[in-house]
Amino acid sequence: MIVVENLSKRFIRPSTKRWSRSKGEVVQAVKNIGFTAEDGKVTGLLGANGAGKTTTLRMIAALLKQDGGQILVDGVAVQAGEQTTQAKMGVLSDARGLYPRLTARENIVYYGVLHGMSRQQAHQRADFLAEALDLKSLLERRCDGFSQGEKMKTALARALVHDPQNIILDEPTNGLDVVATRALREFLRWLRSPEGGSKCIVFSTHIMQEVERLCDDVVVVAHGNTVAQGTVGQLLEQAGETDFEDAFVKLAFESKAQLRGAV
Amino acid sequence: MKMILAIAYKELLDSLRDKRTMMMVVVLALFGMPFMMIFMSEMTNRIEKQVEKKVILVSGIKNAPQFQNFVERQGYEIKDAPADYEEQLQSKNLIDPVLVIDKDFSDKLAHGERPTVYIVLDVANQDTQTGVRPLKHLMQSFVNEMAVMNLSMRGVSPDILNVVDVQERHLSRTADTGAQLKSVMSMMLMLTMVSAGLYAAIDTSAGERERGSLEPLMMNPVASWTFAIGKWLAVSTLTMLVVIFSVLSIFPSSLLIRNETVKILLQFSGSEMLMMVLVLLPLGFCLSALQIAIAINGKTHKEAQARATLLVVIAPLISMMSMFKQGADPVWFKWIPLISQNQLMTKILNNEVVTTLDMLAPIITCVVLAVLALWYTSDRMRKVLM
Repeated sequence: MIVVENLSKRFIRPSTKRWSRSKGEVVQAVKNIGFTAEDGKVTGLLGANGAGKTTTLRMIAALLKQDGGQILVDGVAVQAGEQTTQAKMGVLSDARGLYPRLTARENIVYYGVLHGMSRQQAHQRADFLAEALDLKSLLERRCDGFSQGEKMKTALARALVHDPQNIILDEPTNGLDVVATRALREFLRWLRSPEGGSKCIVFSTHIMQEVERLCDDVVVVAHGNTVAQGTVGQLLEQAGETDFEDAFVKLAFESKAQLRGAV
Repeated sequence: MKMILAIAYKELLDSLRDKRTMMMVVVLALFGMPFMMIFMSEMTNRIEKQVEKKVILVSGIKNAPQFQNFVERQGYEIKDAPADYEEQLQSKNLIDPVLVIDKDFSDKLAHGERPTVYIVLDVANQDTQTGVRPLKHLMQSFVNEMAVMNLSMRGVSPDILNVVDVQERHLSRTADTGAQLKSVMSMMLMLTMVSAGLYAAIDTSAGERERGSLEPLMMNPVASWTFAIGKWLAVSTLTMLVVIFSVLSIFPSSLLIRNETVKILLQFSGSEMLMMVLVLLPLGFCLSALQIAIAINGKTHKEAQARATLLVVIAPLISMMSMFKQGADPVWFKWIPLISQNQLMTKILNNEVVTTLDMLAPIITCVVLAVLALWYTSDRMRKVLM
């Protein structure tokens, strides 16, 4: 289970003027984000581009240090740069970051070993995931030249090689065709089921359809704030809309106006 | 340790499949030393030929029959310089300097005046410079002979010209005369090391950033320093492989040497080769750590390559410091990488006494630099993502 409370993060955007003395512009990427992602559920982080989804996920993955708030993964506080919580998570980042000169199997096994598995265990797990993700024909091929879908599947298998309880996926359907998207959806459904291990899955997206079809819980993020949280039905009710896209726009952009009004 | 080895294994496998890295490794390992040895042999050949050929180019030899007689007695052949010798020297068609004798040479000599002769060469034509010294020596011998004859005719002992008897006494140490040549080779080997693991170092640091694999990598529950050491081990292994192959290539390379003197001088014994590898080992580890530390700040291969050029430029400059110094080596040379290794190699090859400090100083410097570079790399590895 992942609990995020009052998370905030700001960056300093360096000055574009080369010899300028100014330290740069302060950008508040995340202002106040909070949600709870439970085991056996898919929690969607829904927001427009630049809403703060990726920054939030990077903080959960212990890559970035938050300025305020706290993150708990299975009850353990996440600290940037510390490895305590990283072993409990499998993260598919926006940058798939495969090694092009290694085969899909070598990529997966390497991460297994980094998670403390023996090579034999990692190979067995790679075979299992290849079967589940329909990767078998790619397993012994070098990743150089893989399609977007093939890259995503390999990177997902690599993120799941150590069978983590918590799975974080940053825009996993980016660049995927319909067939690949459907296959991914099916696989995520299986992972949240008791047969798949009742995993806690958090995934960020800006695609309404994905959220409607897959998420048990939705966290609507706008301008670095959590503006709404609930099931798809609850959010429709909250917005007073029948179409989820309309509901999202209303929740995200009305909240922006409200926030401006509050200021 | 198991984790470090797993990281090193993956990095090595990745590097061995990288065409750029492999090209650098293969070219340097297989062709570096043979090229260097053939180059040395050809240079020596050229100098020896110039000394041995005993031919001088003269313009106006008919104006100086006494000199012609003298030169021929010394076993030299005189060739008439072409009329356009100045142009030919400039265009490098002539590789020997030209001795120009004026028409009034004999007259002036007979009247006790000092005729002037000119040795004409083009400084830009380096080949001609080699021939100047023998030509000057020949002229000086002629002048001496003339002076001796003049004095003898006047009943004065020629010894008046030689008030001091000057003789050279060579203090050759236990010395292997090839030691200097060999130490030049060890210096070349060190410069090879600077380039050997460069692409691997860049690929393992800036390459990770460029292809977006550093971020997922840092999400693994492994400490940054473990990654830094694993990557460093892989790059160092490649660098040292190049050194070992280069040293081993000395044996077959010696078959390609045409100059017998150089062939004899460059005969390395097995223990000398082993010593060379052992002396260079700490340097290889140090250079690899520095290369990764420099490249980690590059966002792309190209940027990292530009940064790493700094090392490629500085290394020859450091080694040049030892070549241009005069007199005994200053003490601080012992603490400068590249120079200290070269100093140690020269001492070993010269069979000089090697002190404990001579042995330890280069190792200590390399260890300190490598540790600092690794600490910096592991610190930056996560920070560059923030």
